[in-house]
Amino acid sequence: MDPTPSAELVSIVVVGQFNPAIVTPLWLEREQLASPEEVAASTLKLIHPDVSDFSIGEKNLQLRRDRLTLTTSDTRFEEAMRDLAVGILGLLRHTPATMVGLNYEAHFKLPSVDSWHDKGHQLGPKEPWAGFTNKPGLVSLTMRDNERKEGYRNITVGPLSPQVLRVFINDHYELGQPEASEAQACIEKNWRSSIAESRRIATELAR
Amino acid sequence: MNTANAYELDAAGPFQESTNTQAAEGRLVAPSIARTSDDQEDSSLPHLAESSTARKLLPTAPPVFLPRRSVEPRTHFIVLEKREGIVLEIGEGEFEARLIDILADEPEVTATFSFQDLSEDGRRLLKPGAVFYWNVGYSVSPSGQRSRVADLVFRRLPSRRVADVAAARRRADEVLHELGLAP
Repeated sequence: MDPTPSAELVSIVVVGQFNPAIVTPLWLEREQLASPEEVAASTLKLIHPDVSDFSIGEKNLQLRRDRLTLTTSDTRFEEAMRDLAVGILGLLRHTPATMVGLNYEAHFKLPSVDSWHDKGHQLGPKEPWAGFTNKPGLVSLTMRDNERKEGYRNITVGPLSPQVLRVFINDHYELGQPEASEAQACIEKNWRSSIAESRRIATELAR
Repeated sequence: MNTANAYELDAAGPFQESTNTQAAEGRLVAPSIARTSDDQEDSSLPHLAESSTARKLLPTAPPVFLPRRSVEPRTHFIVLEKREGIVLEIGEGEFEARLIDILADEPEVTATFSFQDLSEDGRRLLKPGAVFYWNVGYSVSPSGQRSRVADLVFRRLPSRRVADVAAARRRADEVLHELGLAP
């Protein structure tokens, strides 16, 4: 049986040059990207010329001058989050954008503290450290998969708390044309396969 | 350099563009209240420190960086089945949809859903051709309580702009012309 994550966080990050003040819950409603009910229940954290930060319908949106970040920890809404990202980028299609990150984080509670230590030894063998450390322990390990020429996948694994393993995957894309419409196309093309592959990798690492 | 900049470097290392969510979040954590000698030059309050009483009141300890939770305690969903649906036909109090398996390669099926399965927003978005996601699984509350749920989330797309519609019409006219079907 595959290990089941005890928590998941899915996010999309777009690096570019944005105008945070225009993206508000009301703007999303006006552009039909959010329902009136979602807007009425949205939680504003900060609306400022430099940052727009709010939660809407189980999704968190943060827009700074240099990046758009959307996250959700409820995977029922991961497609809705992707649609929101795609919708915003479609409306801001001529905005400069240079990179896209399709990110996935999962936490797995391992069967015992011993198996959690074993996982640490398996991922980060202690032998190379034996000569100059007394009690080495893995804090974080990042492996980069350079399979694609237009980006890479960084896989970070480490302990979150006793018995809990954290896996974080940053699937990073460099855009050919520096425009939000290109970021939109990148997300539409890659999002589903990226999340599926990230889930597969995380499950393999937790096995 | 002010304390905010100092913290940026402490928290995330030298600035480097990245699409890593947490690298971005690390730079956004509120700056500490501890003050450095550098930031007194451009602060409006340094003269307070010249008073011995005020100096005692100002925080002098180095900033303490609390570990950030990478995931806030929120509702988590354990998915058992996830399908993308396309509305085919709408009847009296129910609608028919084609369902495509997203997680596995199960064959497409047709299913009928009651209007009662829909949220108010779902009812507004319901029309032939509309796309939705059907999730079946366990909703786990922050306290660990599990409840089995199946819900429908309709896809939202931005409103079409006049210029987009005009461009699509022009393109359609071109295609009709190329095919020799133009009136």
